[in-house]
Amino acid sequence: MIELRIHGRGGQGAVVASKALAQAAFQQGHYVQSYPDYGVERRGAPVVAFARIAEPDDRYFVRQDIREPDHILVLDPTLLESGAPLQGLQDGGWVVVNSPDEPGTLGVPPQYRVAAVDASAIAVRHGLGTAAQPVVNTAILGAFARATGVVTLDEVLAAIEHEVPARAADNIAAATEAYETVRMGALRA
Amino acid sequence: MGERHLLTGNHAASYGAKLSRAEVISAYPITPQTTIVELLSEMVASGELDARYITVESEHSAMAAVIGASAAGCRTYTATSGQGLALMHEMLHWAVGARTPVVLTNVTRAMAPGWSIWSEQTDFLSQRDVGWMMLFAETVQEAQDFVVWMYRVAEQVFLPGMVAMDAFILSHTSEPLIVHDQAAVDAYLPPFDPLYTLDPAEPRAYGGLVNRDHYFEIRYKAFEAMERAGRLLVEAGEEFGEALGHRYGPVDPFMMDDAEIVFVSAGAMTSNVRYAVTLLRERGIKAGLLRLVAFRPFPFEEVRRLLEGRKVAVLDRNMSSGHSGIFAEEIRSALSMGAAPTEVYGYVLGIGGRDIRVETVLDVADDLMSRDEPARTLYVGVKGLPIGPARADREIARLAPLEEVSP
Amino acid sequence: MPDLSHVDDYPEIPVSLRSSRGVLRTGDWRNMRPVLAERVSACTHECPASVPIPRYFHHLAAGRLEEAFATFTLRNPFPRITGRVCPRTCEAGCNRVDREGPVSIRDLERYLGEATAGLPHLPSAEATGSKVAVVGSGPAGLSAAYYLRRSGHEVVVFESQPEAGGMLRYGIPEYRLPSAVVDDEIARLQAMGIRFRTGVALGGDLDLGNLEDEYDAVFVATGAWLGRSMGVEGESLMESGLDFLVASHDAGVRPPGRRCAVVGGGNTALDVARTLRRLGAEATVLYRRTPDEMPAIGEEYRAAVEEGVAFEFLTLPRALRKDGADLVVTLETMRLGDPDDSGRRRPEPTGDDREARFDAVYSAIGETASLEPFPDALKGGDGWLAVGPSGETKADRVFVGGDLATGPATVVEAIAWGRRTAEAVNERIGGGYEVPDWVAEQGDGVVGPTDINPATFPDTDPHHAPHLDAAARLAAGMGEEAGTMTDAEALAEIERCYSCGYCNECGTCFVFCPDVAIRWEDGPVFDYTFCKGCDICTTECPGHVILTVKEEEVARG
Repeated sequence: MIELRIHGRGGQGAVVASKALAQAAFQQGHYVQSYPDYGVERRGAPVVAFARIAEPDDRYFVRQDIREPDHILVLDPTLLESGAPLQGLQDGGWVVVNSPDEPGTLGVPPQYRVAAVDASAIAVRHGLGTAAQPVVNTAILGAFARATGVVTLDEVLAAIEHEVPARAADNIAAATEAYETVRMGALRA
Repeated sequence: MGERHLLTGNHAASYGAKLSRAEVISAYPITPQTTIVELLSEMVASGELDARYITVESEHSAMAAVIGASAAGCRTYTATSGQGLALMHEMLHWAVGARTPVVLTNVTRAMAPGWSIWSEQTDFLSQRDVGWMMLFAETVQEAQDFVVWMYRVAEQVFLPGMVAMDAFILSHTSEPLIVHDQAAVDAYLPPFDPLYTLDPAEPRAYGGLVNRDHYFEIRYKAFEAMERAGRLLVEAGEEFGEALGHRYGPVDPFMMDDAEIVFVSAGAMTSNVRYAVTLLRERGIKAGLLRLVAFRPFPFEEVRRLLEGRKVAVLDRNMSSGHSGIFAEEIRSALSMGAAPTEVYGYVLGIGGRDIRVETVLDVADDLMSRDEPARTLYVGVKGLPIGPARADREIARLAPLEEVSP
Repeated sequence: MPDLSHVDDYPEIPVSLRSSRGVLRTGDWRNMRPVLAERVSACTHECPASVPIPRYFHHLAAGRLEEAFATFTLRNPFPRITGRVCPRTCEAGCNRVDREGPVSIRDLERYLGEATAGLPHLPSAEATGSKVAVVGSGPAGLSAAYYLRRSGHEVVVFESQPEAGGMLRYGIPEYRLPSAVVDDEIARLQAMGIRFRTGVALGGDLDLGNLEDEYDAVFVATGAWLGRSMGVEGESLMESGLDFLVASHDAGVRPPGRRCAVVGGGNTALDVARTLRRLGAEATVLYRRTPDEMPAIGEEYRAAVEEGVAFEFLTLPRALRKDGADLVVTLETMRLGDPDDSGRRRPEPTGDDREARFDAVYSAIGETASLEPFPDALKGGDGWLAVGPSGETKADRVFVGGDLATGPATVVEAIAWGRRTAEAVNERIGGGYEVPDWVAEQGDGVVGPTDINPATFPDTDPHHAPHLDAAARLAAGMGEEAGTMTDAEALAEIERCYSCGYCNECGTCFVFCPDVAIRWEDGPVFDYTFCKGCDICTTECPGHVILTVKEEEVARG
């Protein structure tokens, strides 16, 4: 079982990202689950969403918040400052973060691996959201696929096509650009 | 048969209504239900579902609309949640008296204030005495299937039925399910054949005054119909398995054969309880689980047969304040009629959407094993307090004046 | 703040008051934040002197006369004067203009002026030891003198006429600006320590070179008093309109006959015509274009029509001759051709002539400055003075301004120039006066009509200061035509002000904040621990003073 946690803010598309991740694995035949932990449905409020991808021999499934994720995706780098996203993250787990900065400069403790991608700029380039409120979810998924290999880029793109059919081309382009431009730091401990 | 999809519990309920070929849908939006009727309204708008969607200004009117449509001979569906269900309350009684087999999905939501959108079953269980059939779904699959199952029984006994689904942990959880083949559902669920229909060609007065010389008999027929529904639920649940591949019944036992301690639960938290039971078994503890699927009609026989003589922890994500968790109350009542002595411990947890985790269930197991006297109500997870009864001697504290508090 | 780790830390009921707000520290949800961002109101933007109009209104409404006066005089020392004669570009810019009409800003300015007529000017800064000469005591000179004195300099004002005031005293008719008001204002400047020397003219008793030697800086604002020549036959038979206006301040002045004509379409022409009417004469304005091209301000034209001034448009005098007691004027009918450099359509001759008989004809086709007293070294290639934006000249210590620099303009433009020059002088010789913090804190943006929440304000028709009707004006002779609002009218009119871009402490944000995240400390204070950045205060702020900015921009500074 792989457990993923996505941290974002209302309007960035964290919930759709969790669904697309689940969809990507579901299309490969896995049992999956995704679930948003809504705060208040208001732009800017922190949003957490979860995704579980089961192994073929898993029989029983739980329904609870993911407290010890294998990897996390952080759609807004300011959330990292609070420390909340890193809580419970398994050692060696990936922190895939939307940031123009270098992975080593983001203040993430050395037991984690950091992948940084300028998802906001990519989203704006592909017309996703506005410069003030870019919708970064699909870009971050591309970076996640590259960094973790939990899902492949093709699986992510197919899932995006399923989850956001209306803007599929732009979102696919954003995910692909993120896949190609994500910068990955090495484990430091 | 059917196709595998990844859907949320809410959208699964929408598919339940669609597969049932609901003809009139009326609802008022409320979180966390809204996406059920949102998808249905899209289906109606696109022509995918041949139904009339009636927008209204409140849940009370939504229920009035579907009662009227049902009386006119249509299969009707609505969905609501929390405060919305409470606002429907008067009309819920009406649907029973009018014998309209309306089906409703309620996404359980804690009542305000404090304002909350998260799961708690008190809203649903507060409708205990209105005379509707009541089911609890655990999975996305069931959120869909129970709508179909409910129509099948409701339209045979002319009683309305509601299906509960926990807010977010089911309503907004995407997981795989089989969306059944329409022809297979059509074979299972014949078209609605109403007893009476509102028809100008055959004018009748509906819902008029019934004096005390007659009311009891009329109501008695509804009581009898509910007793009959208990049998039909079992039959229709088994037939569901034959026709559509999932077998359902009013209770769902797990590892009960040799169980010494038994958890009773309902709804989505059951998945975690089941997982906890497997862990307890790995530790050599003979634990079992009895999931309640039907709440009304209440499965007296099954409950008595499966629980008597065991140490029972009833897990209630609800509370009848001044008494017990509502399931605990019902279980004790079922066991009071001739069953062997059974220890029932009432645990109240997960109020207002507090996460009920596998660890929470294991904590309850430890507490249960440490007790030797049945307890009425034990609260689990209140901050700063161990699992235990409410404190009757706590003084009510007044708010400190504002100026005495530093910001 | 309770830490809420124990059930007993919680209040009995879910309340969102300060004592229990620890339940939801919602500030960290925020990715946008409201800020109080005072900006320039449309009226202030349109005011040549940039008077902070909503700000002094707010003080006035709160009964803080000293603050209102201090706020006003930061940009214009003479509310009693501009409150009477300003052409009100502010009102044209008022965001209420397309609703029931603009706020009566000039009437309120006059109200402020009268209410604070007895106040002394603000104390001057510590003496700098520098001496500045101001030549010319019109609005530009007086304004510069005021700000220079306020900056701590010793200031001497030189005036060629017997009394100080320049155009204010001599050029504007008594019925619009009584001399007594000018006297009061000059006395108030004298009370600041400004010295006046009258009857000394540049080029006569005064020499620019000597002044440069004697003073640290010299500001010359001697105005534009020379009538222009029309170059028509018999022009010497015409009289100067401006001279007539100067003379009109003397009691007992009478026009030479009943039938008078005034040539021109500017403010001087109309002032002459309206003065003639008050002195019992008939007045006909001869103007070579049409009302649309007249440079005179619209309200002057309307008042003149009401007072029975006759207008002959598309009419140009070609020749004057004497015929007995009559002046016979040959008038040519004009037509409008293509636009000229000013954008107005150019009058073209048609060849149709006619004759008209008058007792007197006044020329008021515009005035120009005399450059005689200035050395060639100060002149540019075009033969005019070379002047920088704040009156700088080619000589370090010499500054010029007002109509001398701009050609005939308005009083408020001259006042604005005077202040600008005073600041330029300060930069050159040191010194300055205290400026409140808001000046630096205020943003540059202008709050326009679409920024405002008009629904916040009830429909209210404008209140106006009393104004005599035409018959009463003529009957009053040179007596003042307008009055001052009552206190009640002024307060009601200030209520109409949208207070664009200025927080007048209306409290709307405090009331609307759903999270009790605005504290009230003489105005709104945003509590960013709880503010979710929901934008409601920004949306509801009637005057668009609150803006929402992105947190990441705040973080980057």
